[in-house]
Amino acid sequence: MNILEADHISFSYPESVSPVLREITFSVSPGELIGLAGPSGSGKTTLLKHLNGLLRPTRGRILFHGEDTGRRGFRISALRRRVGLVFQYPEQQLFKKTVLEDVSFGPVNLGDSSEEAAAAAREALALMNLGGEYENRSPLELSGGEMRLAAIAGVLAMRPEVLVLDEPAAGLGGLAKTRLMKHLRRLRDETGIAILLVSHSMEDLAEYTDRLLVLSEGALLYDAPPAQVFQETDRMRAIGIGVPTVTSAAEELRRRGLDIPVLPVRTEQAVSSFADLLGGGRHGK
Amino acid sequence: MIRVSDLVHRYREYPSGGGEPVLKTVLDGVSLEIPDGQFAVILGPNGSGKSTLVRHLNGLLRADEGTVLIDGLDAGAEEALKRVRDCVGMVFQNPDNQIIGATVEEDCAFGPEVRGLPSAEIGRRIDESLKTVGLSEQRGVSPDRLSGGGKQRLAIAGAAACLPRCLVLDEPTAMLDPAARGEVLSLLHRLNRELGITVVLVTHHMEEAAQADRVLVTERGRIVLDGSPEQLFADPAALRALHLDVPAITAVADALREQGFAFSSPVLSQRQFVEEFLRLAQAVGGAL
Repeated sequence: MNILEADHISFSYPESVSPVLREITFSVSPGELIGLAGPSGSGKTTLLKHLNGLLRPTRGRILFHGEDTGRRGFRISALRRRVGLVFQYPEQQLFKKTVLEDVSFGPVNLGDSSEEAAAAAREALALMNLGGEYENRSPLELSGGEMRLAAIAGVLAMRPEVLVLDEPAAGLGGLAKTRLMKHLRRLRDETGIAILLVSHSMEDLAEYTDRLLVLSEGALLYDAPPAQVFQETDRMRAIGIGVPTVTSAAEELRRRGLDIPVLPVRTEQAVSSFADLLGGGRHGK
Repeated sequence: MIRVSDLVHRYREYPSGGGEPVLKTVLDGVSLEIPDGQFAVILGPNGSGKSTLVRHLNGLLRADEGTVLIDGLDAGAEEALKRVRDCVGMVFQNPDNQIIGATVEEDCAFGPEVRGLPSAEIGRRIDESLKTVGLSEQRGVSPDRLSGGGKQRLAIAGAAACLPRCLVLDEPTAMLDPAARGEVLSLLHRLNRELGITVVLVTHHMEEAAQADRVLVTERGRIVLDGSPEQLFADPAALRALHLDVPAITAVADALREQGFAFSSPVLSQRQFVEEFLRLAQAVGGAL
């Protein structure tokens, strides 16, 4: 059963001639980890804002558990709560004295008692590995990666069914970035929450997502597993987002005469396919 | 030539519960020299002091201790500030925060105009700068109409129009998509190679560091590693201790080397990987 469904949605700003989104259709089921890629200006953020009702489509419908969210009488606040949206650089919105107060803010704001809110916040913090002593610290004393996790916990505390993140790893480097991506995957594995995330890192999308949506000029070009989408190297380059480094290296080797029928997209997969190619002549032409 | 000696920067932090402010040390005795024409990358975790460090390079911040000399000029001295800023141009992460002109051309003219140059000279510099960054065709349009990468190239054109000897860029590619990131990076390498402009680039992208002449790593207000990308990426264990990792292609070559294939350490680019791969494939007489 789908949690969320975009049914032929199009969106235009009143003053603009060309639509930002064109006839987009896809659905989100529980436990999916979906990536959303596209060049700047392709409509990614606009699409995300439709998923929790911040924007209404000009045409088409957003369905939540099969119910049309645009129909009269639909409680948009329910959608806001069940579809948690994490904006870029969410740690800029941390403002309370302690991590626990900050993460409780969402549920308190939605009318939960302070006990309920604290319980939800503790649960969310535990999921982000910020339990125990972290809760009494000032959010400003956390490292960059931890601040990001705390900000995501603030959205998780509202117990959404779908977590939507706009470039969750932006501005994080090295291991902090890897840790965050692994965290999100574990969150999905342990809770069965559906996650949809925007990323400019083709490596991360290949490594961590099960399914990849590709937007270009407001239209949905692909909705398929990343291993499949990244075979379309020329098309991905033409729209400005490219392919993972290992995919492009394998493609170059193929161009130079090696027999690589399917291009690898993940590091581990690339290592094993390259080792096979080097390991004796059995895969040669 | 940039010469930073024993630089200390502190700021006052007011505890969230109220009370007396506490002094926090962001830069804790940094010394470094960057010779003319070098392409240097600064890596380091968030909060390690890298942005604070580069803001000292054109006098945006004042040192609590130590000195910053730009071609012998003291970047902390009021009277040298104009000349220091002529030498060192800055570009920040978010292009929207630094674009002010109504048209591309007007925005690019800002720096030279503030410096009171004759209009013929301003015109020449704008022509040259916009050509270099590939925005000549868009000179009459509003910067709002440019893509993220286009805006960042405009910011670089604006800095370049002041003919700096050095460009300092604080995560200029963090908000860009891959194609735009590639555009900005190749532009910086071109400015460095063809015009000899010194580049100091703060980034989180290991791939960008792999293409530099030199990589500096900051942690807790100090420089903890300083070397060529070859030195740095040859030691994955040291990198992990600093919460850094290696570029994707380096990781693949490292894994293959562990399985006994003779890749060099480190492999830093796709081209190098492909060449070494083909050589190894030929040697075993296999794959090809």
